[in-house]
Amino acid sequence: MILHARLFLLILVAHLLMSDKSMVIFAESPSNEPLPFLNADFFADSLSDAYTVEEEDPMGSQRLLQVRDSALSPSVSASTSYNYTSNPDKVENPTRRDGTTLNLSLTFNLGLGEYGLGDEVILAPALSFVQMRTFTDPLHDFGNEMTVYDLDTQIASLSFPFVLPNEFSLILSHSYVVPSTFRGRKEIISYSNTPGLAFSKNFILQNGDSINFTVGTSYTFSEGDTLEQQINDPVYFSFIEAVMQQNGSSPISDYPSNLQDSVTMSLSLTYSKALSETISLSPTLSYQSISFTEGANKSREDEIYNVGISASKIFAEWLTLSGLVNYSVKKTNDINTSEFDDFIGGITLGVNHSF
Amino acid sequence: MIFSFPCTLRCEELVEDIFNRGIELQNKREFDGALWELNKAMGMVKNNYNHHLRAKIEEAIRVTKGKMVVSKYASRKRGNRLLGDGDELDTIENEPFDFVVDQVFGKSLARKVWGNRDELKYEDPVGLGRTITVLPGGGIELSANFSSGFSIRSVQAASFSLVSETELSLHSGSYCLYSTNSDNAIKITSVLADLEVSSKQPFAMMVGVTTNGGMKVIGLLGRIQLTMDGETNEILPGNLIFCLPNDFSRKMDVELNTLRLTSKLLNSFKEPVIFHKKLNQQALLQGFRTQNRFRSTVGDVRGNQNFEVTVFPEE
Repeated sequence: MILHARLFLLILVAHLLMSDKSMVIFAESPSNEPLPFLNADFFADSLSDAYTVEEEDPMGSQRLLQVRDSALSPSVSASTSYNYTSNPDKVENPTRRDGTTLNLSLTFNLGLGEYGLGDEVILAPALSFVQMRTFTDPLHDFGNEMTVYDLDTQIASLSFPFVLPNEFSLILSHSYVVPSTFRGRKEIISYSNTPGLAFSKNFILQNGDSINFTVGTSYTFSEGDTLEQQINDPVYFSFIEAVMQQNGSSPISDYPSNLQDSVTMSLSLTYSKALSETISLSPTLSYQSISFTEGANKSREDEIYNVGISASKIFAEWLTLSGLVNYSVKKTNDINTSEFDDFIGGITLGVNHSF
Repeated sequence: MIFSFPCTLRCEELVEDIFNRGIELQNKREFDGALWELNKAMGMVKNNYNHHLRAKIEEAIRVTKGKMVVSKYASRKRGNRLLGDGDELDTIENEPFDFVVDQVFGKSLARKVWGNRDELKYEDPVGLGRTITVLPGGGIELSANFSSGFSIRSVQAASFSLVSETELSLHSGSYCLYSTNSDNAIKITSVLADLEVSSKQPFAMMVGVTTNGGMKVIGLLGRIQLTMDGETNEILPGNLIFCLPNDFSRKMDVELNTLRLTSKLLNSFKEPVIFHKKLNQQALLQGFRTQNRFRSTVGDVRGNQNFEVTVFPEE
């Protein structure tokens, strides 16, 4: 049996050697056939040392590109970010300080083609689906207290960016957001539909840096739990309802399911500086005004001011590492809502692949 | 199997017959016919690289094309001498407004058929049959009167002849051709290539005569059909293709944004090309579709088949 096995191995090795040899011969055998066209890999290795000083061509410099054939452009990306926050509870006088969060997200983007409109406008619609999971206080510095903030978020969005002349662009969008819990029983916290409109202008500076100014507005149609659904105890709710009615308010009209309906106005200014081909820096200033329109929130106005800086380094076409620091302040005219300030810093590692 | 042998034999005879007919016509100085026959023979052996006549046919095509150019040049010289009285050229006052100078800078000359114009100026007429020479540092834009919307631009050292309403002969230099009309058809010839250009929609393209006498064509706007020796290729904005002596090269994509910023054909004139907004739009569309940008630019063709690619160093 062992002899048979050895004999088999010997024949196998001999066969492999022979076949290898024949492959080498085949590869080395010169072909007399003239090539009908230039080799597909004509700009691969042989050109790396073919640098010559080019004569000026009146037709212009003809830089080679690889252009996608298909109209659709699908891509997937995944990222993980680890952030520090100075105010984990987002309240005016926090009892807990110095929290952390861990975010995992998976995104699928589908570019739906690019279309020229008239002589100067381009429309490039795109679909996007995002699945995100947030772990609050992943290191459990505060025991299990913060796990109530752990949530999943699903976002589906459709955008219609119109690229206009002179570096202007107009973006019509719609997004559908569903946050839900994932600890214990999965419960959907709310739904929201947000149609939006943004207008932006890019200023390209002489040194190659750019400044982007964006102004936008959106309306959020929300659908969440009413007060009765939140309390989920008929006896206790009856008690609360009676107390509220004595004070001249009603839980049904003050806490409707669309309590978070709001109009958002936003302004942002971003400076983009490329430090090298792979490293870029982007300081940002932004302002957001949110005017709530329903129930007890009617006439509530929140304002959020934000200043931040982010840096990113592209290690490969598919791998990016970025870091950010951000300081934000929230103001409101509602006495029942907390004003706060928060400092956030973190790093994000992202991978992406375009098909 | 039964039919393949006689068929092969018959094809063999046919190729040889056609080749001989081509040579015979070449000897009789009937170059158009000779080229037609030789191209037909070449088409029959196109995929048969081992055919014993292939090399001979290729050589005969090259020789015929060369002889044709010399013959055209000689006949035009003879033709010019016959104009008017003996060697007299027609007077420039009689020159028709087949083309009109729309823009000009530097120095451009017009020769043949009518009296010499040593410095073409704005709104000068240029008749069909003229040969235009653009001197180094100069540039000219001509628009056609017989077909409103068709224009040709050239800069730096260039020389071309306006053969007819549908034919241009490019001797050297670089050109930008564009038409705002639908259903365009034009023949462009260089020393080694006869190219038929057609487009059902308005189009714009750049053409450069390469060192080997072929052409480099870059699509700027529209779907442009290029036909050469019976073979047709379609080019879209950003596509670059070479017209080599026997064939088209592979089609490549070049960056329109870089092109529109660096092209003297597009930027040297006071007035931009009429399609500059549409070109910007195409450059942006190409930007959206770009997957990779290579550190290399396309150059000239000096030999018969290989074109130059320049790799530029990292910053």
